[in-house]
Amino acid sequence: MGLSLLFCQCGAEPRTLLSNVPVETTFRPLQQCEIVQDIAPYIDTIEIVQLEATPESMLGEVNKLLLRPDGAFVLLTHSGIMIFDAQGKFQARAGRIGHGPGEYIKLNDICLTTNGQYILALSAFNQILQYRADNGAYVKTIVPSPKLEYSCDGIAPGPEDGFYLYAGNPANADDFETPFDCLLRYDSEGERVSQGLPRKDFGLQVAAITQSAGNSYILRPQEGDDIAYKTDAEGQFAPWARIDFGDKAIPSGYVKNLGGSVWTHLQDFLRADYYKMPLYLEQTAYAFYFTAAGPEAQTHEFLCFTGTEKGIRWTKTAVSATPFIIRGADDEWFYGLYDDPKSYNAGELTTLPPLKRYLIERIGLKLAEDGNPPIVKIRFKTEK
Amino acid sequence: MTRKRWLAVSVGLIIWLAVTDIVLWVRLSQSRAINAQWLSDLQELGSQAYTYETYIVKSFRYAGLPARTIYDALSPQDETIARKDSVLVILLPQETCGACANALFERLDAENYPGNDLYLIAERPHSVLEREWRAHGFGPIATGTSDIFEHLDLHSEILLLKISKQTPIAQPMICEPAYMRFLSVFLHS
Repeated sequence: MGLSLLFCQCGAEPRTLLSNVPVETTFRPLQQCEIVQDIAPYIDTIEIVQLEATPESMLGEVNKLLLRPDGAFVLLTHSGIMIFDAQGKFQARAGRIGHGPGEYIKLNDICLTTNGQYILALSAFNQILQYRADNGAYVKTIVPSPKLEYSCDGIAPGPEDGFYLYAGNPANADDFETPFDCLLRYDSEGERVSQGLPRKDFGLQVAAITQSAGNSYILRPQEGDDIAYKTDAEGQFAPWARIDFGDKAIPSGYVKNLGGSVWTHLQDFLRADYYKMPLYLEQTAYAFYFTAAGPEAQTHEFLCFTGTEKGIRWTKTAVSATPFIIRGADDEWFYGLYDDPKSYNAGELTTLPPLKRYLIERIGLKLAEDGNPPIVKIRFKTEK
Repeated sequence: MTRKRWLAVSVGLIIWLAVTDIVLWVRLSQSRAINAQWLSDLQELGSQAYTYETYIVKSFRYAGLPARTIYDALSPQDETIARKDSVLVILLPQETCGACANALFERLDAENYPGNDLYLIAERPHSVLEREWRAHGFGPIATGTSDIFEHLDLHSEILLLKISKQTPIAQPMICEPAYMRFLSVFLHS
């Protein structure tokens, strides 16, 4: 499990990387989830939040969606961090692209602090920029120490106002000889206090850390492992759930064992006749959602009803269509962004994933020509 | 001199010659290694210069496009364009890679080029990229201008054109990720 203890020189309480608790939950999505073609029987309510579209608040592609404790939305886009209230009214931009204080060239990830009052933004140069979550005002920049020679992929809040950084691969992704710890924990000043979770295989770093209900954060299973980690009330990561694809799970070390450059094996990995890369892990009080790449790199979506051995799953037959993916959750709702400008005819609709088809056919969802992508709130039925 | 003394001197001479030869051989080897490295570096520089030259020549294939053609395409969106001292126009062919366009938009934003003086001409409407463009606060967009692109034959390459009031011909630069280091010079020169 990669537990790591580091004792602070002043002799204070040791700052552990991960809580030492057993994995209590195992999801067996291929066994417990029923394949569905029609998702209507499972939908309780859909609500649409139109995000205000003004010259100030136009959104580019959205890379991450966070929920503030009051339900407001914090979005990471190509053009920066944008804040909208729960009704979709634009509130503020946090920082901007540039070279000055509080500015950034490129952001890799964002999270909220455990109290939900601040945004922590991870830049491509591993600087952490802090902004107020209510009005986007710049607070400070934290430079992690010691310096890292590679770029990190994800950030999550840590205990005592600290933070975690996650990097799936070292700078030389082909190097499996040198031990590499993927998860690093820092204090509030940016000093590293512990590290662990050794790399087991090469992985594509997409949606490594997602925000879930109650501003908790889920670290998806790294390649070569099947355990997801989740932050507790203090912000410490603990083993949370195992995602078990059984004998259809991609073997641990699959890419590593192919040898040579990992990038040449990317297609082999994605198209392999296994299930791999569980992504976009989101949990409400009653259900757990995620996607995974199946054989031939087909995207499969899973919804497991927690506390039961039941769930549903679906996929698509369309060769290419902009996916609709759930990107956030609170106790009650799952949240996604509908960002597909295409109009589908009746024949094309049948090839879409059931959830997206439902949104287009039953809800009439479409992207306005000069508008922002709307946020879609989904509440599934708790019993089916 | 006694026989023993002759022997000692001779041995000493032989040892001195041997050591000198060894030192000379080591220095020669080092020089060869240094020269080989210099040669390799020079060859690399030469190769780099050649690729830069190739890239610059490629960009200048698109020189000669009259500024008037660009003004005519954009004046319905902004009738003041012809009166501006300097504008930058991005030409986006329909085969453009979205990620490449996004990366360019982010670089332009980071370079602090005045947003009002940035224009986009897209061969076909592309709502997502157009929204990205507007999200950065850049200037007007013209679409459906296929006659410009037919003349240019860009395929998937993004073309930047810098036009100033003083010169009737647009200065071109092909946008390629490997040569983005030139963007700052191109924008601010």
